[in-house]
Amino acid sequence: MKKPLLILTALGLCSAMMLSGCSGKAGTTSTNITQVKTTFRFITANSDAGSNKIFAEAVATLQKKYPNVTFTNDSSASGTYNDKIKLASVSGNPYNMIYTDDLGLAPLAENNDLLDLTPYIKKYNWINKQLPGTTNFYNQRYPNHEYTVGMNSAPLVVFYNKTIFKKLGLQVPTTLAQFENCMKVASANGYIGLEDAAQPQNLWLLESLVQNAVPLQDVINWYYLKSASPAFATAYENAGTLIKSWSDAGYFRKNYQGVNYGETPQLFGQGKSAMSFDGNWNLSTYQTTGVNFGMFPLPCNTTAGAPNYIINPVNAAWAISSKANPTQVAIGVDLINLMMSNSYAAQWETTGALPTYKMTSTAPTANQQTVDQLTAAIKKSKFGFYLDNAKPGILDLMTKELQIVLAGQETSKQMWNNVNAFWSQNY
Amino acid sequence: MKDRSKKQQIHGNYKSLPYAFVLPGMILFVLIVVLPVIQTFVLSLTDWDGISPLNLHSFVGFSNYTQAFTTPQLLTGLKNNILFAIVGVSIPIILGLAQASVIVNSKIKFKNLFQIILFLPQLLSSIVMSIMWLAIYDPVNGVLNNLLKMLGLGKMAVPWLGLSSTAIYAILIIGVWGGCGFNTLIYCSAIRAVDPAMFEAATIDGAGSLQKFWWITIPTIRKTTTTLLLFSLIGAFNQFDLVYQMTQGGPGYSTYVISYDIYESAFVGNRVGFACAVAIILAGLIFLVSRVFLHFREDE
Repeated sequence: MKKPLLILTALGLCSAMMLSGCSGKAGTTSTNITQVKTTFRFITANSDAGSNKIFAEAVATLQKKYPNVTFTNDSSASGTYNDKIKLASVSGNPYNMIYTDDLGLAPLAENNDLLDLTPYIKKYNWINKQLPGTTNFYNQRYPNHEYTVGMNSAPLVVFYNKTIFKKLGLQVPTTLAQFENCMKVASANGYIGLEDAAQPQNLWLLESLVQNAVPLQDVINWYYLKSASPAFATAYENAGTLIKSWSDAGYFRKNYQGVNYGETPQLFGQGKSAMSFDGNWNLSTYQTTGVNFGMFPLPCNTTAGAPNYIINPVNAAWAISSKANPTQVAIGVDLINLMMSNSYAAQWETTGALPTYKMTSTAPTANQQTVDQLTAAIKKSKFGFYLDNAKPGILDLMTKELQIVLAGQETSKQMWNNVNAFWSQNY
Repeated sequence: MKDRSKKQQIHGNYKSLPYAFVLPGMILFVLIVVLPVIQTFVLSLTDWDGISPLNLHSFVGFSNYTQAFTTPQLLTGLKNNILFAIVGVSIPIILGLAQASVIVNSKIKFKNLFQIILFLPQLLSSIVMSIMWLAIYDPVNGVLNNLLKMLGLGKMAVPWLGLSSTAIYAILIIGVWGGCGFNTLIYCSAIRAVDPAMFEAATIDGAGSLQKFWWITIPTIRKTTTTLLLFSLIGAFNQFDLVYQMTQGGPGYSTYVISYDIYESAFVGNRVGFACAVAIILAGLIFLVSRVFLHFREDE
């Protein structure tokens, strides 16, 4: 008697499970995607107050459309940011959406952890809403796939002290020779030609020089790990030699090798430096120095009017996890659409960022004048790369090898050989 | 008979009791230490990047180890670790002993206060220490260079952390400064534990302070010295936080240490397999050094 009863109970349970499964599936297809109860976790490299305010506003807007979703913004300082993404991915609980740089993106894309956004890019016309090349910038590594959508760019510019320039009768340089002359004249008159630090400005100088000394295709081939042309090698060596000559000539601050990069704006603010080579993310810091400053793109072209490539990559880009459920994907797409609007682009401008969204005219922001100056300064420049993003680990190597050259402990050729050896390794 | 078997039963039950008390700790130890070590060794035989799935294609045998032994940066790191082991261990031991001897044996007032002041660096976290010393070593606004300029020694005001000839020693100084206080504290306890009768006997025999120190104090606190040496040696090979926070192994590779290479390879370079191999090599090195050390200690 017991055995038949057990079998009947088991059959009944199985049936109930099957039926509930079926009804669950039917329930899913018929439920409005905006009403689904789920979580949405995203992470970005922007942990400053301005950025967090923008994300909080975006989340509040999305919360209205998706009332049953719990949003979590796990943004942290860039040092731990990529580590968190990797850890989440490898532990099987990836972030639904990430705002990542090229180095953070590449291993995820190769591991099929990112959703191909091509259908959405086409549907919402994101390519044409942004400055030319923005959407493709990070996607060139993956032919026929588009995993990311950029948002802000990160140009490097030269901040110059207008008072010193006027006093010394210097004009904004438009060629490499003129730029070198500015440093020379400033140093000869007791000023610091170019504010510098242990890192990373010298590496940025090197990368800028290289990108203007070879055809763009050579740069692209090297950056995307395809090939290293002899011209590229020569340009790399020559750039190292040139920067060393500047260092030996005393164009940089004395003892710059021990200066911390974070001090650069404050040191420029002492009013003794003619120029400083820095990123747009420090724009607001330079504004607080009280120095009457202007900006110009680093002129690495040898003839006036020739194309000048400046390091101005897409700073980071949005990507959605390939493991996100339909609601999470919809939220991610909506978040990107929110960022691609005048109001949010204007908000990014107030934080000192340079949106890649093609803004139509808006009411001026508090930072408008300076941002306009920055935009005008780099308007005619071409987008260039942070070459140290070519592959994980190469930034440290490039930095150290250049430091050794500047210390006179190896030649530029040895530096190139070591960098190329690492670049060539299959890891 | 019944009582005897009951006693045996109770004794049998109590036999396994110690293991029951030790078991939770052992389980934690296995989970947190043993299993990760085994996992690290297994990963060291792969080319895993920390993200992609681990499968048979990832297995590369001992190629990570051969690569590690032929990487110039790693050999520089090993050299720096050995420098830390020699200079960064011996000087704090000697200074700690000297300071403790003065505190305990001399007639200075406020001995406890001096002990506390000397121990203060030990209370600072490495990040606080780094920020503090970065400010001291700053070539433009730092205390050290400004002091040198005030004393008319402006020529000696160099970028301490920016020159390959000075950076490693600048970090060594911080290590010595941080380690002295702890050694002083331990030595104070050890010297106070020396039997006073031995000093009295030596005094009667006409021994001076230095002779008492050399022939009584030092031999008596020998075990303390060797223990401190062992811990300091292990710490020297594990050196990471100061390098990471202050110089990132630079300028060039002048302050590179093995632990920093592990961090760079695993978390920046996405070469977890290689980093695990280096970690195993480092662990083996520390084990070897400590075994040799303990062997000499047991011989004593």
